[in-house]
Amino acid sequence: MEKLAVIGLKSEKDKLLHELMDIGMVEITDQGSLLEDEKWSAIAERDGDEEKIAGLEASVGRVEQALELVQKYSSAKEPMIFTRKAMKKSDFSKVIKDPDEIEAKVNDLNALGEKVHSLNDKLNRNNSDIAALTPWKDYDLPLDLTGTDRVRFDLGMVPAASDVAKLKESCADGTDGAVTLIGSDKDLSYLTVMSLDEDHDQVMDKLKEFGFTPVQFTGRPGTPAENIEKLTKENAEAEREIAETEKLIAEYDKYRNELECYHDQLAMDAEREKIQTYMLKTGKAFDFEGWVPSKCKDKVNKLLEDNHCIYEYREVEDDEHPPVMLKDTAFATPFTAIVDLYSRPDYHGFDPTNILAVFYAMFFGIMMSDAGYGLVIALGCFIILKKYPVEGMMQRMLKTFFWSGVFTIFWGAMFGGWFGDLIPTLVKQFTGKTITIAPIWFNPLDDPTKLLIFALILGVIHLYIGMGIDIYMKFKRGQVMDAICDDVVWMIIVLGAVIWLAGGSYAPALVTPAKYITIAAAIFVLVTGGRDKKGIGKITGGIGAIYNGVTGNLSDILSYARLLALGLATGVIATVINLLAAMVGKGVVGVILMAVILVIGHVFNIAINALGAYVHSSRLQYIEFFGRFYEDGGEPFAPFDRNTKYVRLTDD
Amino acid sequence: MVEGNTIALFGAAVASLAGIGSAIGVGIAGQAANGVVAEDPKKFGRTLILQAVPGTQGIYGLLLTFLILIRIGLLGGGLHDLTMTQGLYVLASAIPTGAIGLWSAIAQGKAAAAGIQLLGKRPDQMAKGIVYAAMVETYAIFGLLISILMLFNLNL
Repeated sequence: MEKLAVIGLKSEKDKLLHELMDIGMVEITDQGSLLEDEKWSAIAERDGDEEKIAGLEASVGRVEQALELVQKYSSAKEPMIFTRKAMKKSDFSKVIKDPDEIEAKVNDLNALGEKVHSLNDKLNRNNSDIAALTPWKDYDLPLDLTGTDRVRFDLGMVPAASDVAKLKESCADGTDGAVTLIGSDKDLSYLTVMSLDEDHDQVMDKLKEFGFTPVQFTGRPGTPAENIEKLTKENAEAEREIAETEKLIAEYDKYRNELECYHDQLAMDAEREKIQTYMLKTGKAFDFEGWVPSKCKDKVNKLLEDNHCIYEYREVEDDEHPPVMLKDTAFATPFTAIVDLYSRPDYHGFDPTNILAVFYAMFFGIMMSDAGYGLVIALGCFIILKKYPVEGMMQRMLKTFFWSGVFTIFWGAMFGGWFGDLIPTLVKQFTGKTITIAPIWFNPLDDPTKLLIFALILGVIHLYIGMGIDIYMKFKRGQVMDAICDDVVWMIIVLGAVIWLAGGSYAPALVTPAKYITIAAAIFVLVTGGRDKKGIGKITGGIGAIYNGVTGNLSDILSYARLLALGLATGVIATVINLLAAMVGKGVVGVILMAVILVIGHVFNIAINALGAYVHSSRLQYIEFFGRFYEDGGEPFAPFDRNTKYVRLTDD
Repeated sequence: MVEGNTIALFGAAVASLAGIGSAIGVGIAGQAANGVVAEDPKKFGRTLILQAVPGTQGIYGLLLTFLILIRIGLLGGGLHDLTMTQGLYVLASAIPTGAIGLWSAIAQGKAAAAGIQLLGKRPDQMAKGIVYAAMVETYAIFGLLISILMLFNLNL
């Protein structure tokens, strides 16, 4: 990565930005901080047109909204996995050659969407009105009639618990109020009250004691029943109109391609405007800075020269943290997904993708440990990758699982698992013969201890590589003492202790030397552990270093025992499924049932164990391996490029 | 003679008790998942992954149960005649998986539930939530490991 600084003429800016976007190799960085320097602020100011950006972004939003409408109401089948369609640049320009026409379609679509929206509003309003009117449907006077010359009409509710008979009595007692019960539900009783004008206030006071709440239906001529009928009719009409409008929207499906291209064009225009806010301008010139990967320099240079720009590069300074690109090789690249899920390494740190790729796939394979399952995973990923041109994270994950599947086939064959013991079980079921598929290496169920030791050895190798990277990085930075005390000595202790404690039956001659080397190394740690501390810390530091080192190494190495645990789990559950299936597999119905059990059982086993293998293979990388050397916190390299959503542009 | 086999079968049953922990753990994680999916239904698939994480202890329990059943000859071949001591050996070997699995799955369920909350707020950080939950699993794996080492090095 190198830092690029460019000055050019404003008249060339537009063309340059188009071309920079097309090659997508420069991450343009914000230059605003330069303006704090008076020398800069005297001649330059921030570039970029906020109004234009806002306008373009609003347009993008409207096209997006129109596309969502089409997608929502169109009957066209959506693909299972969304992918951008590849398109040549010339074809792309042809599709959007008449932006006004497409803009008109966008406006029409959004108007139709607005219509559906307001019709739905009306439907909701009417429905709630109908709900409010329904209890009154037996009231046969017009709702807007509030009384005659001398009589007042009131409508209202009392809680269902109130005694309506008593209420009636009370209103007729001494005052002239006639109460009629129109209807009731489980919460409320609905009443109409007729009272003489002069008694009205008194009657109302009496009613209040029973919890009377008046209601008014203003602006509704006609009886409740008439009103309900009218609203219902309106609703039917609105529903018909909605259906019609939705159909109209669905017809726009045939323009979807145009709309998508138009969306992407606007999004790219907006991006080009936005990036200018990172640049500075003077009367006639512009200036920007950015990161360029060293291997892309030639292409970038040519482009800048073609556009008559003046430019210079400088190396990354030690206190700078440029964006990070990970290793790029056919096998390892997909595994950058696993690294990215943790965090990119710092620019000055070590990029472990290549090593991680090998160990990730290997651990996945050992934990999955069944050749049949490996075939299913690898084939599944392969077919999806062939059928759908997926990109980005999804593509990398699928390729990661493809390679993990391939390694699973290998380890499955080593351990003799092909859908557990499916083939011997089936052969025995249908022919009565007993066959066995011999594992290439050994069956872990016969000797779990052997697999455990193998897993721990792999773990030690993995950790040694991690420590090796740490030593390399520390030597590079001149921290030789740290490399020796933190890594080299512990490599000696781990190996020495293993030979001392467990090597007796393999190499008895080495046990005694190993013992003394281990003890000597431990004393070295004790002495040097507190080297950065003062006073008493020099002693406690050494003890602390021994304690942390022993517990840390022990728990890290033992952690690799999960390779055995998860590996055995797959095989045993597969065997159980086969056993269950074989128990029912007699007669025609039995054989069908057997097939069902086998399919469901093995699919379940693949799913649950692939999840376990993914999680735990990642964990061994993140905690045990990365723990030894990793410096995280790098930002991914995000070049200024075509930010299209629906179309992947290709050169002609 | 019969007593040894009975005790060994008790062992097989004890190992499977890890499933209790997984059921509780998956349940706890499921509750958290409902909350997150209520706000964004698109996260269903990813919450499901985290919800399944505390389920492995149950699988280890099942695994050890079957290993015991195979080892004492209940599956494939005739049942061995175990002495009382041998039966107790088998029972003892089942306890690490059963007991550690039971409690670790509950703890892992809580960690997974928190991971699901993390997924709700910062979907890009999901992998870290999974790793936090997987940290708990280590101890269940150690339990299973101890059980297997005991079971396979016994003289039955």
